[in-house]
Formats: sequence, structure tokens, C-alpha cells
Amino acid sequence: MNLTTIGIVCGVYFAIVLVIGWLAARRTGAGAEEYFLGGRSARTVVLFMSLLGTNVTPFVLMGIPGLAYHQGVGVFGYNAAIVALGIPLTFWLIGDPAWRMARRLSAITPAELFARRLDSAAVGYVLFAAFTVYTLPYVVTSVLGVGLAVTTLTGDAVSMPVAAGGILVLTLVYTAAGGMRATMWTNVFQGSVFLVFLVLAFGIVLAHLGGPVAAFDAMQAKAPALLERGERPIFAPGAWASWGLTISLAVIAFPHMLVRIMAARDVGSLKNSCRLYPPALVLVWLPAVLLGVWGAVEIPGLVGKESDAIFLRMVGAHLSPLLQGVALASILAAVMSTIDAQFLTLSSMLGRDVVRRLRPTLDERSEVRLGRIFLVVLAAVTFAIVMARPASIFAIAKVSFSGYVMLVPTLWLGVTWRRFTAAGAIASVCLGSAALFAAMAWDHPPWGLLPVTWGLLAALAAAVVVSLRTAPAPRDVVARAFRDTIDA
Amino acid sequence: MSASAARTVAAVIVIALLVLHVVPPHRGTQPVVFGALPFDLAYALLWMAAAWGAVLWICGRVWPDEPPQGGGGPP
Repeated sequence: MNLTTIGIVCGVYFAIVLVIGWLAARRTGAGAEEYFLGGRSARTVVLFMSLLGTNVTPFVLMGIPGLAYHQGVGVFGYNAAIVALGIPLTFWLIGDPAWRMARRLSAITPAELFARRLDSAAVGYVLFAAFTVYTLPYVVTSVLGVGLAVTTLTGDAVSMPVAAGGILVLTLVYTAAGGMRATMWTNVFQGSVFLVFLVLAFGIVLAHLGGPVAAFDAMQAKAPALLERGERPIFAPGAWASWGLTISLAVIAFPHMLVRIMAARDVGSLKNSCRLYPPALVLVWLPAVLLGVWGAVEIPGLVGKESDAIFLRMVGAHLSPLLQGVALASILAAVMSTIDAQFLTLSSMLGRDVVRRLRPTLDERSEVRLGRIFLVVLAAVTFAIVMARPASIFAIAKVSFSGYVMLVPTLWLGVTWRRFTAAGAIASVCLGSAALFAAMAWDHPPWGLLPVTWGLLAALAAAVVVSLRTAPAPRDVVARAFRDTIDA
Repeated sequence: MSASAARTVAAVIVIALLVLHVVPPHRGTQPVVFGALPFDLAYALLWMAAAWGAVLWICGRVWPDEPPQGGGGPP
């Protein structure tokens, strides 16, 4: 292991990110729309790479290889396949109308969009709270991934607190300086880094194993059970369908994804991003799953969350110090491209959907300053949770994703159904979440369906029933929200 | 094809894909495809190719650049 080489590669990566962030900050004008939405100017390449960059986290680069280590190749169909359809569909059915409505209502955050659409400040408060509660665990998985990556690749020469704290500080610097434009520009570079690295690492490891046939023969000889879905509980029909539902619907409910959709310049850019998503998912997920399965053959015996490190162990075993440095840089890229968006979105919602509602006289400059302070608070809370490391990356992400699904009925009905009401939205989010956590506490939910399914049904039922029994927003508010006058 | 017919076809395709995702065909006695690809992985890749085709078609033919005026009726 050559720590100097790894350090130099990461140093170059950090320098490039900071330069891009600085350039973006120079282009970012004054005002909340410029800072939080980059002036709504994202075209196809920037939009697609920022969406993908935001979507790919240590959950994919470390959690999925860790899961494949134990569960085999079925993990690919369990996760990757369904999102190739689910993400584009939700971008079409929810993202497109949300993009149009956000422009009509001059909304900058997802919570603000629905608060204005439903003419209710309470909706903004509830959505802000829900987005924060479900996003924090997701941020934790990202920072946890960095900590694991750094400690594994440096042989504990750099400790977990130093790695986690360092990545948080660096991300805060360019996010606070350049806002959305900085995060989107850096995401293009960061997405390119981890895409190229994954394909390269996959090819090198495969060559070391003697090619596809030799790799398959080794798996068949040493771990044949990993070559098929088999009778594993997580692949049982009910669990398979429930998880497909979760992972397909969760992405559009990530506030950091929805806000990026709102930053699109036009619908054509959004459609092009959907066209590019399925092949990009294959490039990311296939190496992630197979490196985990090959790792089970090469480095057997890892138990539970120990397998989160299998991707890095394979990298350490097969790649040169230079490429190990690139591996670390690619994980840093995946993490930074996600947490920058998460932090920025949550801070923008605090400023616009909570503080500004409570203090309407707050000017935009103060709003942005407050957003920056909230960024620091979020980073500190994340750091504290990471130090506790409550569970494996996959297990933490599962709770987070399930929670996001509880928001989908509100997002979908809010942009498609005129009769949807503020009370319906609040009831949907609250009852859906309550049902989710109740089902999680239940050892054996009925018919083998995961808790997320019961929570989603409760959220949907509450949204429809309560909306039909309460008064909708004033006619002029609804008319303004649904009027289709924006040129695509 | 009219817009409503295209949306109906899209819905049928999506439902068919979902059924094929949840209930895959029986793998039979062939554990490997092309000498090195486990059947379950090959099936997932084939399914993704079909899903990509559906996404391309939906983006090109079903998803309008400009929605019909007065949109926003009950879902």
C-alpha cells in the first residue's frame, strides 16, 4: 500500500472539485433562485450527471457489493433492474408536472411548491420535517461509506472521525460558496470519475480472475449458491415486489432529486436524462454486484456489516496504488455529489419554508446566510450519528428509502389532482409514516410484504379519504397551479 | 396513434414489465447463459433492455413536450 500515492490522487481530486466550485460560485448571481436552483438553467448533460451523481452513493458502491457478498447475483435484479423503469416513470408522472408547477408558482424548494399549491404553510412545515427525518439517515450512509473507505484503503492510517469530518468540511466549503450551480457542475466531474473508475476496476479485476468463464467457474466451484436467486427470504415474491416498489418510488421523493428536476432548463433535458438512465444504471450496478459476488469467492468469511468493505478489499487486492487512490476519489465523488445536494436542499427548505413563513420580512440575503448556518448544523448532527454507526449501510438506507415512499402520494396527487387538499397531504404523510413504523415493529407483516407496502397503502388511503372530506385550496390558487402556460 | 391510445399502450407495457419482474419465467435446468452469465443475471439484464426500450418509446411518443391545456384532472 502506498499512502503517498493515494494521498496525491485524492489531493488532485479535491483541488479540481474546489476549482470547479469556485468557478461556479463566480457565475452564481445574487438571490435565492440563483443560489438554490442555479437559475433553473440545467441542460441535459449537467442535469443527467447531477441526477446520477446524486443517485449513486456508498449505498451502491459499498452497500450493494456488501449485500451481493451474502445474497449473490439476485441482488442485481432486486435493485438495479426495477429502477431502470421506475426512475424514468416517476420523472415523467411526477417530475414533469412538478417542474411545470414550480415555474408557475415560482417555488424554489419542494416543500414550498406543495405549500403554495395547497395554500398551506403547515404543509411546508410537515414536508420539511419529513424530508429532514428521512434524509439524515441517508446522509449518514454516505459519510459512513467514506469513513470505511478511507480506513480500509489506508490501513487505519487515517481514522474514521478524521475522514468523516474532513469530507463534511470540504463539501460544506464549495456548497456554501456556490450553491446549486456549484453542486451541479462538480457533479458532472464527480459522476465521470466514478463511472470511469467502476468500469475500469471491473475490467481489471475480471482480467485478474482469468476472464468471464474462469470467474464463473470459480464461483460455481466455491460458492454456487450465489449464482442464483434461490429461496432466500429477501427474494421471496412479497419482499421482492415490496422492495421493487420502494426503490422505484423513493428516488423521486428524495428532496435533493426533486429540486434538481426543478432546476431543469426545459422538459427536453428531463426526457433526455430519462433516456440515459437505464444504460448508466447497468454501468454502475453490474460492477457493484459482481465485485461483491467475486469477493465472496476470494475473501470468504465476512460476517454481517463487515461485508460493506468488500468492494474496497477487492480494490486493494487487485489494483495498483494509483488506482486505489482513484477508487477512494471515486467514493469521495459519489458521496460529495450526494450530500452537497442533500445539505443544500434541506437548508433551503429551512430558510424558505420555516423561517421565512415565521418571519415574512426576512430578506433574501439573510435567508441564504441562514441556509449556510443550517448547513453547518446538519453536518454536525450527521457527524455525531456516523460516530455511533448504528447498522450496516444497506440497513440504514432501507429505513430512509421506506420513509421517502410515504411522501409519494402527496407528491403525485399534489401535482395531478385538483381536489387534493392540505389536510389530505398532512394526513397522508403522518398516517403513512405511523403505519410504516408500526409495520416495522411487527415481526411478520401479512403476506410477506415489507412494511413499506402497508405504509404506502395507509398514506394513499389517507390522502384520498381526507381530501374528499375537506375543502380544497381556493379556486384561484388551484387554477394558477394547474394553468399550462409554460413553454417546454 | 392518438395520445390516449399511446398512453394506454404505455400502461399495458409497463404492467407487463412489472409482472415479468415480479414473476420471472422458470429458469429450467439451464444455470448459465453464454458460458459465463448466471441465468438470473442474464434475465435481469434482458429485462432492463426491454425497460430501456419502453422508456425510449415513452419519451419519444407518449411524454409530450407541452401537456394538454387544462391538465390536472383526477389521476
